[in-house]
Amino acid sequence: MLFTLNDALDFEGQQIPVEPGDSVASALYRAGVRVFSRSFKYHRRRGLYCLTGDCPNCMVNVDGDPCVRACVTAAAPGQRVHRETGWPSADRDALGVLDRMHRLLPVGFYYKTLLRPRWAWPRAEPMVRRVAGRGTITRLEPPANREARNAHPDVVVIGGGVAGLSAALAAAEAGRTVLLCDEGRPGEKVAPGPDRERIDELAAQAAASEQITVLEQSPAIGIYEGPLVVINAPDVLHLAHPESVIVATGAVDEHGVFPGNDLPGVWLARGAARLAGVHGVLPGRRIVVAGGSSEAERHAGTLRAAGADVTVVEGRIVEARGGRELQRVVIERGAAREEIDCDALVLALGLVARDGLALQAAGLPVATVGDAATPGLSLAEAEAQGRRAGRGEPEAQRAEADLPAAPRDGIVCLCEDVGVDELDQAWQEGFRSTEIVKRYTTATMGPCQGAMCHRHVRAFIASRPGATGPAHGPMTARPPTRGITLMEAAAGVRDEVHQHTALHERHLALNATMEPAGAWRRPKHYGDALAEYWAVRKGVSVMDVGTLGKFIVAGPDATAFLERLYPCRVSDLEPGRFRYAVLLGEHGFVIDDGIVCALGDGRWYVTFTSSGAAAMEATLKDWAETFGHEVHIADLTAAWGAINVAGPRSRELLQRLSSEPLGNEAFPYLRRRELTVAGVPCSAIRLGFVGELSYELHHPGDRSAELWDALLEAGRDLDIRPHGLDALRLLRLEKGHIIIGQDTDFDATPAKLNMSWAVRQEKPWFVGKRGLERAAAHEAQRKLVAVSFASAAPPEGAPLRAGGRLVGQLTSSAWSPALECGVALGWVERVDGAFPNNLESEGVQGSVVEHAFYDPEGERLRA
Amino acid sequence: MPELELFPGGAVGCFARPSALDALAEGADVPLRVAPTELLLLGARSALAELAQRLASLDPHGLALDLSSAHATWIVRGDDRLEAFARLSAIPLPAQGGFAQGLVAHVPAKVVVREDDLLITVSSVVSHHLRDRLPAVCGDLAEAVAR
Repeated sequence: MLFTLNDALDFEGQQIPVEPGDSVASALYRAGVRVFSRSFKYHRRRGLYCLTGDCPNCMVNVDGDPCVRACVTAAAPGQRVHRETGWPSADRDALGVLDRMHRLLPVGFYYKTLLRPRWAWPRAEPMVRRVAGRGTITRLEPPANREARNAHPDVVVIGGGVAGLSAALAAAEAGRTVLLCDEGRPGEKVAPGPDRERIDELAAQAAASEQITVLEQSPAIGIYEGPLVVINAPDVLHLAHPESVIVATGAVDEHGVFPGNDLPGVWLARGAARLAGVHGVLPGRRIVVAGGSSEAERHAGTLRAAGADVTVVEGRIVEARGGRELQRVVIERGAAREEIDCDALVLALGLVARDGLALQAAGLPVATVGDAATPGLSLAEAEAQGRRAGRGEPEAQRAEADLPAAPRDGIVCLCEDVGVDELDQAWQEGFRSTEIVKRYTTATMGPCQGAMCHRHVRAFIASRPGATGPAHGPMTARPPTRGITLMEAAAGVRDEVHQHTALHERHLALNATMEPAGAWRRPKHYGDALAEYWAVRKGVSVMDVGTLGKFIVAGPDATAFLERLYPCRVSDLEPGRFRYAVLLGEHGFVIDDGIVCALGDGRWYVTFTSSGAAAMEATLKDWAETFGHEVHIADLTAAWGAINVAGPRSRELLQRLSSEPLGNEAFPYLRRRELTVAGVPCSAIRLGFVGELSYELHHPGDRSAELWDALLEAGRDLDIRPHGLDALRLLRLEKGHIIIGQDTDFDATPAKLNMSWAVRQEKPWFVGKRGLERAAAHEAQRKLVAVSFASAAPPEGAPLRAGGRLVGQLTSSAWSPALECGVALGWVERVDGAFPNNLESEGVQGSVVEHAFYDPEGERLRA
Repeated sequence: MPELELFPGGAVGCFARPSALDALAEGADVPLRVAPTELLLLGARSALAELAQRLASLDPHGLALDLSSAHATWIVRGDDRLEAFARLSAIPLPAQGGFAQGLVAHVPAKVVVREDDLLITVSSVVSHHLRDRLPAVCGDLAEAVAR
């Protein structure tokens, strides 16, 4: 045949012609390629087998994507295809010697070998993985912006065969919207004949129906609760939420297990017929079709029509023989054995439901029809069954098909290269149930997810006396039922939601480097974190703290509610006063912190950490309901912005923008007052997380930009600059302030954090009180300490040692520019009954400090 | 063509006893009853003082707050608006006049179905996300325009 390079794909440097309708497999097979891969463990030759995407044999690399099934991938000119397994090549694989070393590669190889000496496995592991691997991902580009898209049809029909199409049409006639998906094009895997003709007729009707949307090249890969059906279309991942699902995924030929069953030249019948009937390529010249069913005869007819010399035989297949490829087959009929020379053995041993999806749908409104329910249905039966399901008529529960005869010899699991001898070995070692034999041998756990072999594994177990567990029941099926690439699985990754404050655009305009902080995107720095730090310590700076959780709590029981919620006193706060408060869980562990501020008239303003707001809203509401308190909890986190004005010159700056007195007497430390700043009404809170004179200006969010701009403009001659999270983390660390989640642990009580002062244990009740009482009955074995290092502090997470013994780790750590030493927080445990004072981390000596590193008396806060 | 526009007039959040909110919701243009004790009145910012006064008479402990900065309500118009919504959300769209709450483009949202449009209310801190996602997901329907 004449062809041009424009009509060819590149196969390992060789130009292979592509004909219309070709799959990669059919194009390669027509060109004489017989070995498509090497097996996982023993590097046995593997050729085309199922041609329906069910087995692992034809997995190749296509255009850089490894593990692509050539048989269900459309061939296209210009494609670059190569085989991934085998060294130096799949055809001539030196590693094929492993097939002669079964005794050195026993079942459970990983658990038995290379354990001693201890250095052996780390050295061997990369080699083992490379030998066993199925290719490498070479692409380094960022993930494509692939969409995950919801769909809401009334019915999802999976599979475009006779039963599936009939179901879709019946559902559409009943006025329901239908989404029908097929992993290829409806009927494309079916050889010409009555089945194919009927599929074409029904597919044409479905295409003409306005009620039916047909998704081609779109395998359903999982059914989840809802039901939710995930469909992997070429350009988008569909998340379909139908009222009901109809699974019509058809059947696959029974995998045959006998010596030589994985030789290139051994085929499943539908695959061989498809190759000949659809692609016009003969699987062999002298073909033996094994099986006595009418379907076997039909496939034999297809192969004969394509020009093959076909012999149909009934009987037990004893062995397939050959060197590089199949040469003859041994058949046993009664007491007689017959050897037949052939170059293709076509297995028509019966059909097995392709029911991986149906098995995922227990308890969901999912009907299974056609061959997927009852393999071997006639055309009319499949059509009738599909139509009944489409109309929503219940179907009688199907009986599970009988298991095949227990395998005697041969490869059971093609994916994992598990033979009957290995199942036997597992049995001899005491593994007695399907579940643990499967785990130990890894049979059924490869790319085909047991589609080929699970019935044989079960048959093996069922045939052994003394088997435990449900050997006869179906195995669990899990998504994905068809392989998907990491890129495909990452669909919707761009849907990651970041929260922006009202000042987000201002930060970008100031060239801030933004970083994720919980759900927020916040400025890490504005180009010079150290200069930002010094602006706070020596001049004036602003920071966007609109991310803080902000709530108003009101209602007749508001005061009682907060008194009961917090471990500190609340009801004694006069309007305009506030208190730092930790919030405890029931076990007495710190879960968040913030302030509680009295607004008057029984109304309260409470704040939480930036990352805690959403959870704390739920926590507050849960407790209100638990207490039976009538309170109203209004989340102002998004409604209100907040800007922290900090630094020794912050009062001077604010005074420029406010006509109200701001001196220490008029507005002392730990007070809140209403303040108009640059014309913006603010709830001003004087506190000091950063250890300097500072004011948090809480204000309506739609005035944030106006206030921010005014502050920066008014502070221009004061060398004002905004500071980001880098500076903030350092500033608060110098004060020894904790960050919830970073410095706290899951079991951090206030006492362990040296914050017992935040708890009024004498209160009759508060959330966590009982937990603290229980904790107090035992001496704490760990606590958070502040550690000063003479030189640069080791990094966060570094281990802490005392006298050479590991006693804890650092949670926060930095070099303090103001103090010119390393400062850190870290957890330590007792040594000989006492907490150590002298610590060492990564060779740096440190000592525990009992107070804040910076301004321990807090004079600067009160300035 | 799905078209996006911000709903004008801000929003007022009312927190009070259910009976008080029932009375307050009557006659409101776009009342969203997000919880038994929470009512969001879209477009009602200018009526805040009046609402607060009325609420005080219905429930002296009730709260009426200007939550205009807390929420962004997008009006989605166009023949493809229902398909656009369906692509963005797993929640079934209620019938006309109905109200639903759930995730839209992975963002918690409140949805109102009106005769000619949809209203999708989300937190202002993620408003940009919905604005960006709708055109991205519906690019093949038609070009969505955010204005």
